Amino acid sequence: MRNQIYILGKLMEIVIIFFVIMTVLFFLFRLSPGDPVSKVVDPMLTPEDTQYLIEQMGLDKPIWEQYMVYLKNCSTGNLGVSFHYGEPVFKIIKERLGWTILLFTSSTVLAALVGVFLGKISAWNKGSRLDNILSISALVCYTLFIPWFALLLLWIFGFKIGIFPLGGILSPELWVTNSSWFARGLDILHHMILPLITLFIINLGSYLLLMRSSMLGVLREDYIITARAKGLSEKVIRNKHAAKNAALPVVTSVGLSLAFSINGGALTEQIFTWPGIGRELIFAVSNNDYPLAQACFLLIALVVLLANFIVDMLYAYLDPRITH
Amino acid sequence: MALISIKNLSIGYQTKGGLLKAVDNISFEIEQGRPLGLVGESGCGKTTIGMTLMGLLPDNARILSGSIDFQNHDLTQLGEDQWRKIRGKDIAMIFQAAMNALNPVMRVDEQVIEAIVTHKPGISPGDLDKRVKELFDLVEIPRIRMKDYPHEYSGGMKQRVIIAMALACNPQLIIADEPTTALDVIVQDQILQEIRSLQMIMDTGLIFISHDIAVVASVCRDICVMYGGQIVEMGTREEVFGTPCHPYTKTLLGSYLSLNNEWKVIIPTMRKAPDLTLKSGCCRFAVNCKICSNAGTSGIPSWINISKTHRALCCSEGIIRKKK
Repeated sequence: MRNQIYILGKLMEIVIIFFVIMTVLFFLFRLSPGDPVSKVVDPMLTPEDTQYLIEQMGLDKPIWEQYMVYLKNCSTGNLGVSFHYGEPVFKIIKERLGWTILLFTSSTVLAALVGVFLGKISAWNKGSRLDNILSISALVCYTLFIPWFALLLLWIFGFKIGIFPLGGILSPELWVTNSSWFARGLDILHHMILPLITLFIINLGSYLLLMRSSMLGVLREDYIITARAKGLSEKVIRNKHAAKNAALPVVTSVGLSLAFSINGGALTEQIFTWPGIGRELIFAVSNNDYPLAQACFLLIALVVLLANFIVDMLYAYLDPRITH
Repeated sequence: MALISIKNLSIGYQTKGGLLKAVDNISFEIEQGRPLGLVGESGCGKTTIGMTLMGLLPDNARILSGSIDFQNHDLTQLGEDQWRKIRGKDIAMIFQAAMNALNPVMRVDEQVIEAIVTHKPGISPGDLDKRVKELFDLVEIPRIRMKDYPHEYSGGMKQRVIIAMALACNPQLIIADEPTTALDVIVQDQILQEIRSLQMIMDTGLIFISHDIAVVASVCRDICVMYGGQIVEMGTREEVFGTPCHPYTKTLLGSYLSLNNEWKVIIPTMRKAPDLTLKSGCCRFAVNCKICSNAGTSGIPSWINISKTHRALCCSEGIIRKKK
C-alpha cells in the first residue's frame, strides 16, 4: 500500500514537472529570435492574406490566451503542424521515435552489460596488465569526440572498405520490393551497426570506469571478508557478493544516460542520417520549425522524467535498503 | 593435546617505509574448551593474528617465520584451495557486526545458508532448513525475522547472525575479533553471555580478541597481553589481571577506570608508539618503559616464568619478580 502511494505521488510529481517544462518552453519560444509568421508566409502574399494567416494561427491573440490554447492542444496530443513538412508534428514524432529508441536502447543496454562485466574484471584484477589496458581504453572511449569518431568509422567501414552503408535505415530496393520482414530486419541491422558501435564505444567507457570504481569500493567492504571467511570460492565472492552491490550505481547511470542520449546522440544520428528524434531536433532548430522543435523538447523532457521514474522503481527493487 | 599451537610466528607487512613487523615471534597454544583472550591496544597485532589463523591476510602481508599446527597440518604452508576447505568449516570467525559485515542486498537466512552449503554441498533441502532454524534458535533470533535484510536488524541482532554464521558448520576453533566493540553495554553483555554459553555447549576452542580488558576477563580463562606485535605477558585470567608483572600490563590495567579505586588511577605515560620496524627480538616496550630506561638494560628480553602458567617477556628479571 505504501508503495502504491509512493508511485502515485511520483507520477503526480512527473505531471507537475512536465507542466512546468511545458510552460517554460512556451515562453522560451516566444522569446526566441525569428518570427514564425515570416517562416510560413510567402513574401508575395498580400498584407490581407498575411493578416488572415496570422489570425488563423492565433498569433494576434494576447499571449495568455495563446498559452491556454497551447496547453489545451498539448494535453490532447495536438502539437501543431510542422512549418516545413506541413504535416502534424505528432505524426512526424511518432515515426522518428521508434528509430531513436531502437538505436539508443540497444546501444545503452549493450554498453552497460559489457561495461559492467569488464569493469568487474578490471577491478578484480586491480593493478594487473589487464586492468591497465581496460582502464586506459575506457578513458580513451570516454573522451572520444563523437563526430570525429563517427566520421572515422564511416570513412573506414562505409567508404574505404565499403562493407557498411553510408547512412539511412533501409536500402531503397527493399522499400519498393515486397521483401520479407526478416530481410528488412537484417537490412536495418546492417544499417544500424556503425551508429550502434559509435554509441556503444562512447557509453562503454563511462560504464566500465563507473563499475570499476564502484567495485573497488565494494571489495574493501567488510562483507567481502565475511564471505571469504565462510570459505566461499573467489568466483562466488566476485559475482554474487561484490558485483551485485557494485552494479547498483550503474543502474542509475543507465537510466539517466538513456534520457540524455535522445538529445546527446543527435550528432550521431545526424552523421549517420539516422531518422531519429535528435536529427529532427537539429533540423527543426536550424529551420525555425517551431512546432517541431517544441515537440522534440517536450518529448526529451518526458523521456528524462520517465527514465528517472523507472530508475527509481528499479533501484528499490534491486536494493532492499530503499523502501518507498 | 592442544587444539592449535602457534610457534615463533612472525608476520610482516611490506610498506613503503620498509618491512613492518606486526607480529614478532609469538608462541601460544589453545586448548579445546579453554577460551583464550588476546588483549592489547590498537595496532598491537591482535587482528593480524586472527586473520592469519583464517588465512585472510592482505596481499602485502607475509608470514616471515614460525608454524601453526592445527589437526596435523601446518597452516602457514597451506595453499588457497586448502584454506577454503578449512575456513568456515574448522575455523570460523566472528566479526564486528557494526562494520557492515553482512551483505546488504542479501537476505539474512541466505547468508547463513551460504555458510552451510559451501561446506556441505550435498545437504538435502529439509536438513538445510532444519539446520538454519536450529542456528537462529540457538542465537535467539525469532524465526519470523529470518527472511529480513540486514538493515532491518538491530546491531545486537546482526551480531547474533554473525555468530550463527560462524557456528554453521560446528567449527573446532572460533576466532572472535572485537565482537562486542560497537555495541552498547547492555547488548554487549547479552552477546558476551551468548558467546560464553555457546562456547561451553559446543565445547570449541575460542580466541577472543579485544582491547577491552573487562570483556576479555569475562569470557576468557587464559590471557595473552600484546604490545607492539609481541606477547608480553601470558597466564590465567587471575594471574594476569590479579598479579600483573610486566610494566605494560600494569600500565594497561592502570588506565582502566573502576568504581572502587577511582582515586588510585595511575595515569599511564606512553610517550611513543612502538617501533614496529625494529629488529626481531628487541623489546618493543623499552621506549616507554620507565624502569628499563633507568636501569639501562640490554633491550633484549627473555621469558621469565613466574608460575607454571604465568610468564612475562622482559629484559630485567628483577622488574618482573619484584613484589608490589
